[in-house]
Amino acid sequence: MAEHMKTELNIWLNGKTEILNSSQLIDVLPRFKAPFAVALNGCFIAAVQYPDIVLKAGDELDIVSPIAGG
Amino acid sequence: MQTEFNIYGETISSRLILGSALYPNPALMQQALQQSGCEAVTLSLRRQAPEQQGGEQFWRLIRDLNLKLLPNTAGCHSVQQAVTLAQMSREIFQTNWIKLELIGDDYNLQPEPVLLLQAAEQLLADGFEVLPYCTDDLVLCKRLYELGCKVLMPWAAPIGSGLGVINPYALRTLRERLPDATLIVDAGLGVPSHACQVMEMGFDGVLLNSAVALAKDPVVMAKAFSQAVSAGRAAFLAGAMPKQDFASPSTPVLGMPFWLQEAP
Repeated sequence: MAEHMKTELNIWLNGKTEILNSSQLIDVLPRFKAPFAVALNGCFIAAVQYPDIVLKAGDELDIVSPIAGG
Repeated sequence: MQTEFNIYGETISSRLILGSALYPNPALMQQALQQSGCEAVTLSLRRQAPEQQGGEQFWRLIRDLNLKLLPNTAGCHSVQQAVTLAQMSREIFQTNWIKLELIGDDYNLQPEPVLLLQAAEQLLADGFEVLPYCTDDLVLCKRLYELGCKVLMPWAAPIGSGLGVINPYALRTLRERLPDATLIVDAGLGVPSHACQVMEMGFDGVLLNSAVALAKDPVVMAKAFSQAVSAGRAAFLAGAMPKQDFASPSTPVLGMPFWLQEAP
């Protein structure tokens, strides 16, 4: 009988530790409001790539949005 | 009078570009930007904080103003950080413009010249239209221009200092030696006369934030800077009189009454 494997993954999300139940990037994103952009381990991830990204333990994920600037 | 100039081929009518930070509240930011008549505004990206609702209010206000967006890479200390933030900006803001900031010293926020060149080269190769925030160093500016940065943004003084032009010689030299570059003075201006001064030198534009946002009345100060930029540009086009070290009367001396031609 196939046993359901529960995923628990520790990553850094916007500078804070986070335990994820899914390793898929697209499962992390719904809690963020558009517009946003994504970087993984300091590298830009284009929106078209989101479905292909699988996260690993210790990954550093940054989700950024517009803010005032000079 | 010629008022427009262009940034990487895009015509801009106002030679004043404003930042969107540090205003007492969003409504004053919006009013100040409108009163300034600016057509482009700088902004940035930061980690989304759910408690701030992703900066939704700010983004809505900026979009409603229908200005050209000039995203920056403020706070970056490495080429990788700057390149990644630029790529993220391009995706969100849908513009190839990037105000490239790469800081080399946290005390005076002076740009890191070597890394700035490296980042500019990478971004230009990736199709960005790079507007590097740089010092007034002639050689650095020449190298950036030779790389392909058509617009350079030398400082007048450190960011947020309000000191005005600390090295007029360097800025004058830049203008003379890079006559074909679009030069926008960015950072360090405190009052409208500072903006007027650099426009009189022949700079193409001025970018500022703190001087307006931190004024007691940002809306009135935005208008004042707009007028100063226009006055400075007009003066540059008009051509200033030559300076001299001696007095020269403006009222004709010939025909002056009470002067005797010969001694009695």
